[in-house]
Amino acid sequence: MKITSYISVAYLAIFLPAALLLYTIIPKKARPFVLLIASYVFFWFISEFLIAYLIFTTLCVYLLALWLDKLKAKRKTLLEGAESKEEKKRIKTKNTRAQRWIIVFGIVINVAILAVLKYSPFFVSSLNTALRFAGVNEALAPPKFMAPIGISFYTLQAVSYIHDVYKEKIGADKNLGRVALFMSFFPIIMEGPICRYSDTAHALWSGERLHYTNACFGAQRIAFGALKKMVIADRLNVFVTTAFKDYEAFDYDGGLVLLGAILYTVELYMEFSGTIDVVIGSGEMFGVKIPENFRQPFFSKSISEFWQRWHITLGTWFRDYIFYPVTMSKGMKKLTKKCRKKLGRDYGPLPASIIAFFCVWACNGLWHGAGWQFIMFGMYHFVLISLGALILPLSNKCLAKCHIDRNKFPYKAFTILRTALLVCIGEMMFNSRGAKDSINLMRVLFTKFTFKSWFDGSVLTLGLDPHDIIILCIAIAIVLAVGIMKERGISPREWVAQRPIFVRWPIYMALVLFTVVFGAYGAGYIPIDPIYANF
Amino acid sequence: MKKLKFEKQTIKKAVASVVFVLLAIGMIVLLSLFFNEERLETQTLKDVKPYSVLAEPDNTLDAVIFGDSEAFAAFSPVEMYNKYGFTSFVCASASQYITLTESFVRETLEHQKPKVIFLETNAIFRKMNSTKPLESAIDAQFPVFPYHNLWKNFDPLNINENENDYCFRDDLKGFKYTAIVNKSDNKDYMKKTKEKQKIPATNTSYVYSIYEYCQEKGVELVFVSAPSTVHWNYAKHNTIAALAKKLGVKFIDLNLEDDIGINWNTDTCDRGDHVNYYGATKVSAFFGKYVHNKFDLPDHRNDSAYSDWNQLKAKYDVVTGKKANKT
Repeated sequence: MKITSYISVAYLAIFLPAALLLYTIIPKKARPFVLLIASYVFFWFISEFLIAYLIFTTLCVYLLALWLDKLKAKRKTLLEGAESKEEKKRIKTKNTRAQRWIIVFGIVINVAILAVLKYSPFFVSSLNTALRFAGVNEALAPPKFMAPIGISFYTLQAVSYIHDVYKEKIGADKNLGRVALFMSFFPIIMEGPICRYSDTAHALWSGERLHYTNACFGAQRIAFGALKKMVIADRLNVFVTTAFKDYEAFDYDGGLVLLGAILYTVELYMEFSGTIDVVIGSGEMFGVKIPENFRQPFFSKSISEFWQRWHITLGTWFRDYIFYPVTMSKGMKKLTKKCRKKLGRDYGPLPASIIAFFCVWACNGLWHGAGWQFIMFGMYHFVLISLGALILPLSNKCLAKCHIDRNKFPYKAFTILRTALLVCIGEMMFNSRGAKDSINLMRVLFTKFTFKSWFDGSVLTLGLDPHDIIILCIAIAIVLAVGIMKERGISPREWVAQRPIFVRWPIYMALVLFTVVFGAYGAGYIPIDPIYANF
Repeated sequence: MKKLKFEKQTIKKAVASVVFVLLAIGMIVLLSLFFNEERLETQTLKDVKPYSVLAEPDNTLDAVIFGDSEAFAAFSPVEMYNKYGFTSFVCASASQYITLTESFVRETLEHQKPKVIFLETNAIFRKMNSTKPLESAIDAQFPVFPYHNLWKNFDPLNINENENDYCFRDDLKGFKYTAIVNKSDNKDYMKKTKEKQKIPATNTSYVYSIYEYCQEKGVELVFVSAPSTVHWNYAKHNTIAALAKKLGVKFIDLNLEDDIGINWNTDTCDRGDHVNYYGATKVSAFFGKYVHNKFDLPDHRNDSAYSDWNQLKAKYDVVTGKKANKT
């Protein structure tokens, strides 16, 4: 059996029910092992022999974390027995150095595996281009490696585990099974979210029995995710694919390219957040609370806020393991101190922050893919966020002078629309075929812009007919309504659960049947592959 | 006492879950009464081209070509009709699995009595998930899944202004027009070899099933491979040639027919994966001649019963000419 997506018959009708059934019928003590075996079987289905990389990374971080723990214990004992300050200092220095070597080794080896498998062809072809520019005609053959699906996700989890042990946020786990399950839990292995050991490891290993409420809520979340993916994302796939593939051949204007960018952004959100709904719903069924990855991102009023609401677990990972370590490094602290004296309190911390932002966004771009378009995507957000931070004091002054209230609806609406538009332009680069294509799309967008194609019927030639447009509007309105409820602090599921049965059940039934009838599946439709599984 | 209460609650919840699931299945069965093949015969789907073969009047097709995107890109029934007068249809969808092909063959032969059907061979090699047969079985039991898109025919808002345009018989007869040119550099893809490329075991059983059904219906089955530098090679050719020999069916590999005159610089839309309109014109001319010579199909061009086919040329020229001008 091959599982290519969480929203598939193989997963939803066979794998998940089988895992749930096995989990329910066996004794509590054996349940974690069922999850572990199910996770490894799942990984085998998606990556076959490449499972060896996952096993290696798991063993590597498990052993290194234990070694770190041992060193910490040894330090404590030695310090207790030390007689002088000098001796204590010497012990601390030696022990800290040893721990640093271990953490550096742990991070480097795992990141190196990711870099070699995923990025070496890109690095070699970039090197070849550079050599060609330098007049060297010798070209290196780009290596070809098979990378397991989900490597970008589990590698980040591995790094976070060993780093948190090093920083003593958590203790090293002596239970190899628990570490292995944390690394491989089948609902999260393909598209995240990127979990921390402290979030999920113990809940996963607890063998909690199945609860009716968890099962119901989990199933509802899965049904909602399926609606997002099958009704909206898969329906938009034809339009988006045609718009991005044929825009040059059919000489599309900037309006059509913009529409393609907007609809791609909607498609990406519905596909990714829909899959995450299925992931979180699956976890919920087993009684495991998987962290949320989205919080109504299109209500953001700035790009930095957007990234706190979109792919949240990736953003917090970069914040904790790149942004903070860079800004808190000795060099950056010195720089901030100097800049504070010269630039004042408002602008003083900015140079160090901008350097850290650069590191974060270069890594973010590269994490999304091995290609210059992804680096451009990262740099685009770096520029926007840095500019936002730079002009914030100035824009505050301007708004105060013009008597514009940030909290009033018109200004809020303006900032939300502005942010959404900037995000769509970023996603347009993201979906391009390369840096050259990315620049070309920008050229068409800004030099040939007109809304003519929106109204002359051209839109209807790209694979969406008026029926599709109506269904898209209804489905997006449903998702929007759920988003508005959440923004107002109302849990839609709790709200529905409190209604009487003759209201509650028709709502659940309608959710399922809406997807069955209006889903874009079957002959004539090609569902999008899980977009984030490739990262 | 407390334990008993808990058990009562558990039983209540279990019963509620079972009732809900049964109700959901009941609703799907109910929907299947509205969304099924019978409704498709007269009002078919615009998006799902292969289904429109069922909108053709019964027993009017002389040949039907089944397959995936390689088939709908390469064969133009209108071109072949205009040159040789036999009627045909391309029943194919993108990335089509052989399970779906098999069900299309069965559905089509319920309504048509073609002399020959052609099976484009690319889909035979498409690896299927092992759940595909299960999906096919579910589709057979609950027609709402394969035919759910019929909702587009319920038109309370009168969106389908031109009814004929929507509840339609496909004017291109399953052919998909594209005039995009994106050349292929892989021109030497048919290097002779003795190797064979393996067909997944499940797929073979579906090919046998198609073959047996054709035998039962008295229709000749022929394998045909459309030109593709991306998806075709000599190892695949060898496998299909051996399979054809085993089943005693004809096999024509258009990748080996130099007389077609495919120019991979101009006749492909996606670097050799599929031929474009210019390639399809050449393939259809060659293939039409082959079918005409080998199978002795009737010429309907002067037959008043086929007047709708005679009117297709004008429409075809509009579609192909208009879009060709754009590029």
